[in-house]
Amino acid sequence: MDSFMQYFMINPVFYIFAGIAVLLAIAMLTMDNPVYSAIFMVLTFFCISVIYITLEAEFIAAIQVLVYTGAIMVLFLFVIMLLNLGRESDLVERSGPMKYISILLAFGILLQIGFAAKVTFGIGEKGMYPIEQVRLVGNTETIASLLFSQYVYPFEIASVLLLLGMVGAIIISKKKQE
Amino acid sequence: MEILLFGIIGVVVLFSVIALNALILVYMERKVSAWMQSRLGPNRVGPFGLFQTTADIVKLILKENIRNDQSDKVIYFLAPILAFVAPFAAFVTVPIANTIGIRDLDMGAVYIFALGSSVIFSIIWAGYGSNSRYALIGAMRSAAQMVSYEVPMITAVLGVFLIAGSLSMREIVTMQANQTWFIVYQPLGFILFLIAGTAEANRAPFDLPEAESELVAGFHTEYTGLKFAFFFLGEYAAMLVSCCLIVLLFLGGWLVPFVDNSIIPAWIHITVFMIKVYLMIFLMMWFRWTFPRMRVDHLMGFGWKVLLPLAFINLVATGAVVLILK
Amino acid sequence: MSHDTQIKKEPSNLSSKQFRTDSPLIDQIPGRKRQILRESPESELKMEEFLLNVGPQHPSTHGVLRLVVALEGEVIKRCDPDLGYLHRTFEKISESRSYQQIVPFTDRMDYLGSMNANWGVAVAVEKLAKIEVPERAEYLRVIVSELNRIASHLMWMGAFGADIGAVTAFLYGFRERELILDMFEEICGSRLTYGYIRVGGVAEDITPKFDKLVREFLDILPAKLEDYHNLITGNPIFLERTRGVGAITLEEAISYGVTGPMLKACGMPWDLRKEEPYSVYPKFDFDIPVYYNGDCFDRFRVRMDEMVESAKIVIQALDGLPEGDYKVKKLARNIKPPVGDVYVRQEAPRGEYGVYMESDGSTKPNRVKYRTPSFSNLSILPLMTVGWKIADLVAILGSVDIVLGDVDR
Repeated sequence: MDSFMQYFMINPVFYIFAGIAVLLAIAMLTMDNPVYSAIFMVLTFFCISVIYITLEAEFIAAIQVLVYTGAIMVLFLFVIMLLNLGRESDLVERSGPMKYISILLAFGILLQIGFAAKVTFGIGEKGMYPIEQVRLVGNTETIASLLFSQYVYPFEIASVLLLLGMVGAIIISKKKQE
Repeated sequence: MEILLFGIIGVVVLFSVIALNALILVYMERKVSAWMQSRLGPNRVGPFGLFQTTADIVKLILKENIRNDQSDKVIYFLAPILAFVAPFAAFVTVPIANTIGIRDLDMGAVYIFALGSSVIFSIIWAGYGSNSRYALIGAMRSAAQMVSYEVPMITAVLGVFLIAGSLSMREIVTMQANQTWFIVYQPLGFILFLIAGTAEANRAPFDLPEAESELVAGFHTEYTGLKFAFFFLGEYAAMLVSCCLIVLLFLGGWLVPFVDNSIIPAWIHITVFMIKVYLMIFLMMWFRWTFPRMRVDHLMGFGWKVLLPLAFINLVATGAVVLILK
Repeated sequence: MSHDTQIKKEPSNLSSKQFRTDSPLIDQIPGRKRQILRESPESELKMEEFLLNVGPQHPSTHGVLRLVVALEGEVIKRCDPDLGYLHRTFEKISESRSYQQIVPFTDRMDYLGSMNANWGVAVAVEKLAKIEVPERAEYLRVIVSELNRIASHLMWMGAFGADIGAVTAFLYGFRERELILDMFEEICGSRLTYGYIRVGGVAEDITPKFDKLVREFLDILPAKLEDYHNLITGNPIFLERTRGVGAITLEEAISYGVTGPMLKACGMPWDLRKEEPYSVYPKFDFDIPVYYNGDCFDRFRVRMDEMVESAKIVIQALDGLPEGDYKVKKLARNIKPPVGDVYVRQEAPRGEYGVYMESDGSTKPNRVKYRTPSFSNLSILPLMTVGWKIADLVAILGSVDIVLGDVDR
């Protein structure tokens, strides 16, 4: 506990927001109303972006808000409202053997995370792009140069995948109309 | 401790500036619309009707809060707050002169766009929370509209970032001092950004979320009193952010044209900046009072089929030129 | 939040349930009758019908019209007008008043075209009682009713602009309408419900000031119309919003009894002033504007052109105004027409305005029936709106040019 307080004092903002993010994520899962779930998800994303800011990764923080909350979650809410899932609990299934299996799985994953956290709790090793080096060239430049040189293939593959999804969605919706 | 104090002062100053600005803008909108419609506009309360908006705010504050029984309490309550807070927070990184501004961020522009995009939530929440069909239709329209117009807006402005090589507002303006205003290099980008910015601020002819003749008042149909005032304040704050962005990115920010700006005192810079911003706001009001409203499918078609391709052409051309000149 | 007033209302979230589709939409609104049928689970996630109650309090229903609209997304599936919110029993009350006393009621029917509404009743009574009207009175009737047509179309143009979102046009239309109201105030002291055209002539003779006002107005009208065309007609957004929107064919228009500018926009130059010339209209030279697409834009153009034609008629009538009496000198206080009936129809700003009157020889009519253009034109609304967007509903409804007083009577 002593060591935790130590870490907490080093970076209180991180621990506060990490805690809030976990609570919000739990709230998101337990809500009956899908609109509430979506709202809690938005708030979770905001908390995560604050954590990015404490890491001085401001660009990623802003992009997190811009893309996840500004675009993706809007579409989520859009679909929820369009289908008017609102205050209906029809979609919530509470029984069946799947429930116990999922609890078991969740517990297993929790154990794993806990184990991992115990091993690496504290300040880890410095990576290839420590904050001093990032400060030297700037946040955006670092990400941009990495994205378009070292990670150009994953980047392009991801964009092609997204495009495929989009085209697929259009084809499916057009087919239905005919 | 010092940071905290500075923050509190900054917030107070910012709030009063935005609130005062909203008062002026409402008055200005009325006078401009009256002028365009051959009317007189407000002229009873105070000299030239100057206190009309103050009287309106007092009325809104004193008004009874009506909430319909079936509305979703929490969401209904949160929506107007977010509508105001998001554009308010966006101002943090808007500099109004070379040395004056609350905080200059490394990626200020992206920060402003990020906050601008979260305004959508307030509209969606208002539409969902008030449990009214007009509000719901308004909210769905706005979700579609804002997501579609954010893409051409950001794409259009990428050209500026390419030339400036920075995302910091202050640096972008400094670059314009060394070279020339970016509207010269990016005329297409300027027009696209102006159109998309108008749409993003929900101003006519893109004011579909609150289309008066169709949806009564759109997403804020069920709001009264102070909550309605917050939406009102938020809308004008969003308009101010849009216009500040246009001025900073394309019109040289606080720079006085044709003179050496390093010797000019800060107060002139602030005045020049405000004049430019208010000219852009006047332009937006001009749009509003002369154009009919677009229809929702035309709006989406225009955004995706006209604005976005043009923005991409602009981006690719700018990128090519910047690469060659390097 | 503690002092929030709570308004009890029916949950409006029932749209997710499938409503029966064969009963009228009105019955399906929650609170009236609730028909909830569960569908199979696979259809649970499809986009469902969304009932929207437009009016009777709504900025764009031009009064107290109520429309129940079934939407799929933004697209209109069905549209049910619900009338009667402004019903004031004018037909019945006309049957319990003496013949002269009927005229003021008609002012309240089509309050934007009162002159025309007065005229129809006056002519019906005159035909029943065989009263000859002096020629000067006929000229004056033509002048004021054509001026009223211009005023009505100006107001319509403004309201249509406001429906589409061009609020400025609204004020412009009102600005010029004001000049016409000033003229009417000059001759009859009233600005909305004139009662100027009466049985046996008109209420007062015109004054030199009226003549001056009319000529001044007709001088500036072309320039003003040019202004409107610059502001509205040339605007690409306006064209997109109106071209092809709410188009109907000529056959549909005829089968629904649509008349007036809406019929002229479908390609039929049907105008009672030409087809069944009444009063002194044969003496004047004017054209009937006609367009062929039957959409909102053509209705707009017909009305804009009609203003020009009306201005032509007014100036000809004013120049050729004969001397003489403006009303029948000796008219019985209680007219007792012989037994019989008559149907008079005239071209009002909104279309064919008909008055059926039946006399049983007493001082009161036995039966009065008004055939109002707004009512017949509105009947085609459900057909016109299907398949269009909710935004088009407002444009289409605006293009019909209804006056609710005229619809409900």
